[in-house]
Amino acid sequence: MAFVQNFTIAQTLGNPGIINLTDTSTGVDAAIVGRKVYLITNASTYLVPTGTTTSYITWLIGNASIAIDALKKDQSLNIRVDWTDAGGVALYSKTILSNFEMYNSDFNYQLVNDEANGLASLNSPNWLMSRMKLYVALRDATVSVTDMSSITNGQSANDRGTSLRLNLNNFY
Amino acid sequence: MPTVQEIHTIAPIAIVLASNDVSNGTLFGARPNPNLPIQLELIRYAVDYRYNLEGIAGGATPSASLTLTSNYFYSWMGSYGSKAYHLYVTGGIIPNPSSPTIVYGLPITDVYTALVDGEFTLPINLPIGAKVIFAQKGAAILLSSQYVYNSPNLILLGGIIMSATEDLTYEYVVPI
Repeated sequence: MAFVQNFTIAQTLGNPGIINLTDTSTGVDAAIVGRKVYLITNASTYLVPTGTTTSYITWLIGNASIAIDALKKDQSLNIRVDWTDAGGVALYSKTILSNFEMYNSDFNYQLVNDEANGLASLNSPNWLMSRMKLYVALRDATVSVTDMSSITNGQSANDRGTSLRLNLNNFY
Repeated sequence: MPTVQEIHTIAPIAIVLASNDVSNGTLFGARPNPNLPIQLELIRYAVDYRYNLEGIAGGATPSASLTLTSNYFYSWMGSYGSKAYHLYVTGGIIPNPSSPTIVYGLPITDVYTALVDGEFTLPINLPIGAKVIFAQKGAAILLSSQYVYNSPNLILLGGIIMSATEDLTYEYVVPI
């Protein structure tokens, strides 16, 4: 049966910095001995975990899945997996554009949680506009990536949300 | 109090109900909080994220945090939440497709001027299926029991008669 490359992507509940990849390829190719994962940003740079000296992450062929701790903020990424031969040459490759927005989504949920606990002021004049800005940034990021396949717009929206999250005292 | 799953289900219904009510405020007086549908959507989006993250639709038990925020969200819905819950529990009203409801267009107003004294059978020929919904003889508004439309005449009942040159203003609707 011919080899058909594929993989799935998920973020980790409670730890938004970790991306989980699972190999869902079908078929067999005896020449495949390794995998490389590239996390490509909107600026065409490569994102890697701290301490990694290459532009890619090695994904051992014996492991069906891999957890990559590389995200410091929400990002739109092209994730490319290469299935390689003994010489490290890519025999098969697949790229999936994905948006990782768990940092900002968690923050958005935490705002509601704080309100429910009476920790936030609903009387703030900024409430509606600031919440709306975050909502639009989140929706914008998702739609840009999933519907429009635009990594540039997705990252721009992610960065707007991140700015709100990191400067919460100015907005909430 | 509805469950977390029920609150998740009725949320979009409550938002539509609130939005419709705010729209009515344009005609019948502004609502105290015209931003409510937007505020509900902002909270819904956040709670919905957590709902999906915890896999509640797949049968997982909601966390204490999700239960808290869902109840908080339900309190924001106010009466719209209660109405939405009622619609959800009763299933709302499902029209029977075998006997569809007749839909009428906007009311049309016209005037008939009596030619002679004593007229009570007024030759007003309306389109097929038309329904007279309002009649006013001179300055007096007639009750619906005081007239009947029997094509091609509008008949005044109960001894009501027109005087010569008197106007009868009427409104009718036509099926669309």
